Amino acid sequence: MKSQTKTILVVDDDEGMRDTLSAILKRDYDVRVAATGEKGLSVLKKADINLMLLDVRMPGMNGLDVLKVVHDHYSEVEVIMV
Amino acid sequence: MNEVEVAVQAIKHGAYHYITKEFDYDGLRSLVRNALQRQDLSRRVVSLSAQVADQNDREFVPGPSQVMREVVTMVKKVANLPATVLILGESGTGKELLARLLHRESGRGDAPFIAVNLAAIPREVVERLKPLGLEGFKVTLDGDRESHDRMRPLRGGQGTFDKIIDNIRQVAPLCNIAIGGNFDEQSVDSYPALLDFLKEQSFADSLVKVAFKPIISTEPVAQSNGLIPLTALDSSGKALGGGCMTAAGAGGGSPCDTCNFIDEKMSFLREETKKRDFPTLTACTWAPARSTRSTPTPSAQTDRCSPALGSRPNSASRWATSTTTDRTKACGRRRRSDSKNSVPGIPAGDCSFIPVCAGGCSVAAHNELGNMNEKSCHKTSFESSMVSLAHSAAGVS
Repeated sequence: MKSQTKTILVVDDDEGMRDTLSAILKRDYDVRVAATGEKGLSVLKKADINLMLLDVRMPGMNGLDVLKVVHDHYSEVEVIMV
Repeated sequence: MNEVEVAVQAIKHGAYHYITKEFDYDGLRSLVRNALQRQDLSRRVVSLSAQVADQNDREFVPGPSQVMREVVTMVKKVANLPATVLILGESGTGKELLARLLHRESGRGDAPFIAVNLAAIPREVVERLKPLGLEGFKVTLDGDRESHDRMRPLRGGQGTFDKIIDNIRQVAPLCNIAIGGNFDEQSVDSYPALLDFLKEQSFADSLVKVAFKPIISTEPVAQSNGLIPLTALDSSGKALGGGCMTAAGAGGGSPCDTCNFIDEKMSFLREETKKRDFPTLTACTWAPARSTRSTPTPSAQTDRCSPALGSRPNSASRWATSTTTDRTKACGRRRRSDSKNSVPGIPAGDCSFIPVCAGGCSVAAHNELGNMNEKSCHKTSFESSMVSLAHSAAGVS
């Protein structure tokens, strides 16, 4: 059964990786994507996200920078670093 | 940073896991599933901890009272029965604590205890009551958000303005909603803001009536020695139900307060309500028929308004410009504008004719102008009546 209430946010500057991760997970979850750390935080602010797949190396805010913000302000959101 | 250092930093900053980009698809799915399960468990722990803390805070303590001990004994007896239990009592006597005790003793203590707030009516309750004849209900909002929450600080936050509005949003599609409110000098000016707020809501068109009434103190009126009080008093010194036609009549045995304030503000709020196209009263309120409601006669006696009691008036000696028959008709004809709310079988509402309020009485308007929606004033007759009363009390013929 599809987990309708769970939403996953994929943050990665690599479009191919975003598409791959979305393809793997979208059957079971609602998947959102963002191309930068800043955009990822913006999505996080507006949507009820359960889990983030977060690329470590990105231009601008890198994954660790984003992780610190998530940890401080959205502590309920689980994060898997990629 | 190399891969290991990044992984260490990630975990240190709270990441659930770290994977490389050469991941296995099934492994990733499994990892995601586990992370979400951990999140669910964390949330459950938080929720249960809060419930336990709440229960500990609200432990029922019967105290030394024999009556309460008997109540607790009875609760323990019935707790295991598969029956519904109704607990009645005044506000603040501990009904919910007793319900929690019942829950704990029932053998179902591990299951959630859900305290339903009956300051609001949940959608499910409305759905269950509709087949039984529920058409709608009335909601009280005592002014705008700030005023309402100031005037109703209790109920553990359950009756706050926002919660009531949320409740209306849920049930408005199912049944009729009437909005009422009780205003005083401090809150009355916040009502236009309330009306504006209501007008903006999605349920605005569903409201079947919007009408407000004043809060009137029922404290005994002080009587100075040797002076005739302006407000008519009964033998115990309490003000008589004055029969302010526009407002106080519905206020619950209210002493009329020479009520320029009430009439003025009732008219003001009525106009403000009408301006926003809400259904409201166009004339006077329908007050409950009260056997204790009295009016003073010229001989300083009190007389019940007979039509309100369903019988004919017993004397022709009455005040001012209306005969008894006129008064009977006036009483009998007075209705709320909203016929949905008239009460069949009750012949009259607030039947006190004496214009103690000296304000714009709709009965006078009815009698003198033939239209109870026109404003009228019988202050003159009131004043002459007061002179008569003064003469009578002073023994001057």
